[in-house]
Amino acid sequence: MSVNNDNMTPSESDSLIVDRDDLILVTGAAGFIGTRLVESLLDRGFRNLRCFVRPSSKIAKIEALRDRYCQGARIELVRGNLLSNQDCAAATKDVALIFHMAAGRGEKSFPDAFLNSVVTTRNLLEACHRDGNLRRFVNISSLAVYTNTKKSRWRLLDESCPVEEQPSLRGDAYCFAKVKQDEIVNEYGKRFGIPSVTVRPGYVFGPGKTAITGRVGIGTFGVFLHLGGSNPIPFTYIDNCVEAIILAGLRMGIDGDVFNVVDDDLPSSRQFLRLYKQNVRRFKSLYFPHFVTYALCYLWERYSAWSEGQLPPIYNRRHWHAYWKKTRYSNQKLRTRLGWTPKVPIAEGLSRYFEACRKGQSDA
Amino acid sequence: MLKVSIVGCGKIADDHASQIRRIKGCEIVGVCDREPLMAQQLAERFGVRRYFGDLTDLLSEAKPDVVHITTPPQSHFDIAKLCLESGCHVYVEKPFTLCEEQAEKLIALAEERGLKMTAGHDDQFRPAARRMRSLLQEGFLGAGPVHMESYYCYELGQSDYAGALLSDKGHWVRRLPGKLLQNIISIFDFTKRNVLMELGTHCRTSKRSSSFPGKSSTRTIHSSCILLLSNFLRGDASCSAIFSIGNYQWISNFANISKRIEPTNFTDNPHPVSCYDFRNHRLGTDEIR
Repeated sequence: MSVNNDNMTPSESDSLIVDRDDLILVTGAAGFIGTRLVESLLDRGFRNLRCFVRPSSKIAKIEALRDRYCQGARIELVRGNLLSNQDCAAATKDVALIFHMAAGRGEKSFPDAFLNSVVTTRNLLEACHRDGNLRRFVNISSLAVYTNTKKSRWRLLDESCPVEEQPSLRGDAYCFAKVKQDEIVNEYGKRFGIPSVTVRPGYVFGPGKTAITGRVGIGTFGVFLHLGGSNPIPFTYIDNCVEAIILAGLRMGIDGDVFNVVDDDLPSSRQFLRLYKQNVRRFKSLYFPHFVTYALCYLWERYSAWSEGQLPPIYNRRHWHAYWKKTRYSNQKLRTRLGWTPKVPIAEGLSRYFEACRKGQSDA
Repeated sequence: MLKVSIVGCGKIADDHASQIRRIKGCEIVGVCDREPLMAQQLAERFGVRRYFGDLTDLLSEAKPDVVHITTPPQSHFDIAKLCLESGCHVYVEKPFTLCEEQAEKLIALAEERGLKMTAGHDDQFRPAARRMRSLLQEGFLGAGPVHMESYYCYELGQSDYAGALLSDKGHWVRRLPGKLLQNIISIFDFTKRNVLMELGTHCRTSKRSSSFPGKSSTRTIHSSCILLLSNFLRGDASCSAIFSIGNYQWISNFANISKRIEPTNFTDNPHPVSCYDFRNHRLGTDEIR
């Protein structure tokens, strides 16, 4: 197999599982990461892409890419719903590689998150199994699936760390859905031999996504509650994350592997907040030390249980351990197994992100 | 021990499961969804031992005494009929059925078998609803209900519902005390002229209120309301409302109620959907025993 383009050496292209003419499916192609992924694949010379988007998705960016790469690349845009088996069959027909970016994001309800992440993934896998042409399923998971409960402070969180065994107790529908999504991908791998690689990005940031992650703090009551303190925030700049996802889709010999994606030189929550205030806008923030946030999470958890859900159990000790406990992160496996290096240094990434925030660029 | 099952494992099933768990002497013996994964996730989160992808399997193997039907409206009739025929009491989420004919058949079947059945208009039994009924019976408000329907919408971008209620700050709902925001509205059309709206399914817990992120819906915690809109369909904006927050109730007039409306005797209502709904047929464990 050979992929000849400026971004890939001949030796690199020899170790890829697909050729540039093989059909690649990107679900969630209109999303923040999906759009950038499509662009990056085209930049690398892959010229047979199928972009699957929801019927309501804005597709201006994909259409712009289609116009830009109209010479020599075939970009098929498919609108549909992954809850439909028919749509899944149409999406996966003759596909060699799938980047499964689509997921239920923002749902507060467990059934909704589950439906839009797990049932959709199962439908897609089922369609792949029937089609029989798939060489790899790249499952986009999240760093949120890891449990940190039994680890001491400042321990390293890497791919060897355990995943939440009872994700429903985290009180986080997204975490629950992602844990279950990973499980079903593994199950299909074992039962039907569908080859997969799981990628677990940290907090993906960049122009087009202006929100501050909850790992830094929570904006409420007119004051930003700073909860992260000296914790490193597991950022990954959009371009670096996309690079890791693409490598996870292309490299030979990594089926069944899991890769966490975080950048180098991660800033602490305090450093990030200071930079944000300096570069984007000033606002009041109130720092809560870790023992205070732990106590508040504990009280919230107890009150939620005592009141039988009068307050939803969204803050609890498991959540605190996962989001606000002092933890270090590693991208060592990503570097050694995939040869990944962050193309955009974190300082440059933050600079671009702050500039986009200043200009008020909203989510993609 | 009363054996309860839930059919339909979507969003609202979570609320049913959590409330059933609170009742002593009740056990959820099985959950069912046409999509087995959905049934599995509900069973796992609520510690239910068995889950099913087929209703007949649930009925024959779990043998529930009561079945809560929380599926989409178009499936209510067939599922409720099958459950009643299997000897189960049923709780049907709103809207009860798609048409009056289906409702009549189900009610007849339940009465024939001596089984309890109720529609999920749970706010009918809140203080505000009871107060409203007494006002109707005293003759202060009311006319005979002739039609009932539920309007479903979760799409905030959907203009018919969300556009009016959420985007339009001038909408009458937004001007109500507490800025009540709900996601399910039941409309009772009083002789095509007067409208009673039940707003209430999204207002009891902060969890539910948070369904509208970014909107000032937290004030709806613990509140419920029943609105009577007099002559609303004729374009007359006169309306009054009875609110209750905790144990506190008040009646608010948003415009003049120019006249008292004819009193209503709900039990004589010839229209079974509404009639049944207003007859205090609450499904409770004591009642079933």
